[in-house]
Amino acid sequence: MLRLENVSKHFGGVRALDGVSLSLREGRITGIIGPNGAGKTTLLRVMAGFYKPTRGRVYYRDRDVTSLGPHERARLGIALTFQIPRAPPEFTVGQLVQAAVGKAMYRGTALLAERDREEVWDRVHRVLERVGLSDYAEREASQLPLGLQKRLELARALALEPRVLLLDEPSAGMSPEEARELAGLVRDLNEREGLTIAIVEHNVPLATGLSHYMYVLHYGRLLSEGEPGEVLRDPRVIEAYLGAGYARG
Amino acid sequence: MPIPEYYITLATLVGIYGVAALGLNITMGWAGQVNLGQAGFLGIGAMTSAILTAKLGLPVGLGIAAAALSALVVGAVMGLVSIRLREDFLAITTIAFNFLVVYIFEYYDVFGGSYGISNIPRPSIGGYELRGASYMLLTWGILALLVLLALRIQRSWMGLAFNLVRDDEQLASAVGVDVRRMKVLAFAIGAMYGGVAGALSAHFKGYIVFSDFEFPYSIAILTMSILGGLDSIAGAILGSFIVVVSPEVFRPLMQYRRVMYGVLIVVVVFFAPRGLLGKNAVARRLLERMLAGYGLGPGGKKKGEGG
Repeated sequence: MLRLENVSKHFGGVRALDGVSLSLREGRITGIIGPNGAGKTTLLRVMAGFYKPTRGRVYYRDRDVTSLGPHERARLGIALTFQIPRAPPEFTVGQLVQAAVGKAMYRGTALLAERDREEVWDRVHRVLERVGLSDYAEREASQLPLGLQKRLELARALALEPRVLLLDEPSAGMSPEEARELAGLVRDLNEREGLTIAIVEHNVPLATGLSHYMYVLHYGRLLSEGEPGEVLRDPRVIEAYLGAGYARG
Repeated sequence: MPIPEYYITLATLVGIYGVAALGLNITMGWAGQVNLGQAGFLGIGAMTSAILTAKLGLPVGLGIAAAALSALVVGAVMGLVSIRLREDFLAITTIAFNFLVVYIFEYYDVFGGSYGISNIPRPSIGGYELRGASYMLLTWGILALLVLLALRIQRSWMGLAFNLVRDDEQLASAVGVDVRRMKVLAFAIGAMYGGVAGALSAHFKGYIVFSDFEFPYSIAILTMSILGGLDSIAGAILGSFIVVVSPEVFRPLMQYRRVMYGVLIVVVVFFAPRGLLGKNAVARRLLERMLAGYGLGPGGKKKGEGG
């Protein structure tokens, strides 16, 4: 579905990604874990088009999308949620979702089409309902607690009607209860709607519980890959990331 | 009793600068692209229309349309430049643009050099030349059309996309907004308003010269926008009214006009950063409350009250 081929991303002298090849399989949840600074967020941002790789190519359904910008990839159906929710002041929850609903309208004469139409708001409300934010459409997004802002991130991504969903630490800052609900939602999106999902997580049990396949990054390189069980038993992963205590536990 | 010529002149100027300030609001207030050279776009519009009508004898309507188009094109080029620049550098670049335009007007004969262009015709309809009240009506008619266009933009996807680009470019891209295209559009549309305002002023005065479009005029237009509220359509017109009329009311202070612009900007930015009619601004709330008292306006019904 989405494939990286030998991708490197350098920021000045820092090699955030160094020759990474991996693929998100269609209809599967792919977990990406690794210690801080391993390059996980950079990886998602390369997939979503926010960073152009220094070397290597990105393919989406066998089409080379390396040179496409983030807005073009969003329109193709690749949706990213940000690790730190983005909710500029004065935008309501509904408006931010509405903005994403309009992805097909951001060009040509359709740009001047009236946006507050009933069918638009129907779609907005359906998406908000999907993530449990129905009651918040009129609320100012930046005023919501973090957990709800995280859900809004997801709603905004879903409003793009994506084929691929890239989740950057969706559970960070959530209570265990919220994280469980989120995991249920992600699984549901995958199972019922067949979304291809990549999830970057620090919460290893959450990631392993959800993922069909996993990649472990370490200093910008792939350290290990495989099914969750295999990856967790990989001695290299235990040494570099999970720690000996995790293996015993 | 006919309205004195003096008031008609003031009303015409309020209309003309209302158009210019409204354009600046679109570029700067809605899309967040700093433009400190709006007078340059007025100059481009004024010179285009003046050359086409006074020198080439084309109809005034065509001149104004060409003014809009030429400013739109130059605005789009500025927009392309803005893509590559951070806010502070964009501010400096637009000032430089203003100086460059004025320099070109002064040194090239086609723009009349230091003599300017005179005998710029008035528009006429069916042999009737529009002057005085009828020209004021034309100005306000064009302002009304451009207000309608602005309202359309505000309520469209473009308006939402502009606001997203202003507040968070990454978020805008993430929802599929082509940030670069929006910046170019915002600049082009705002410049187009400036071009129309310039043409209207050229046909109003009948004579223009390079110094009519110098940087201080950009600051005057900026003062109007900020005063009224950068994100408000009505604010642009109110701002134009205050800046055009107040030197007349406070005639003894006339010579300190430019100082007043500076003071006004500082006072507004300090005490009412959203301008008089901006979102949640004091004057706007007062106005809404007043209207509500008469059962009008958005605050006419308290939240929670049934229909």
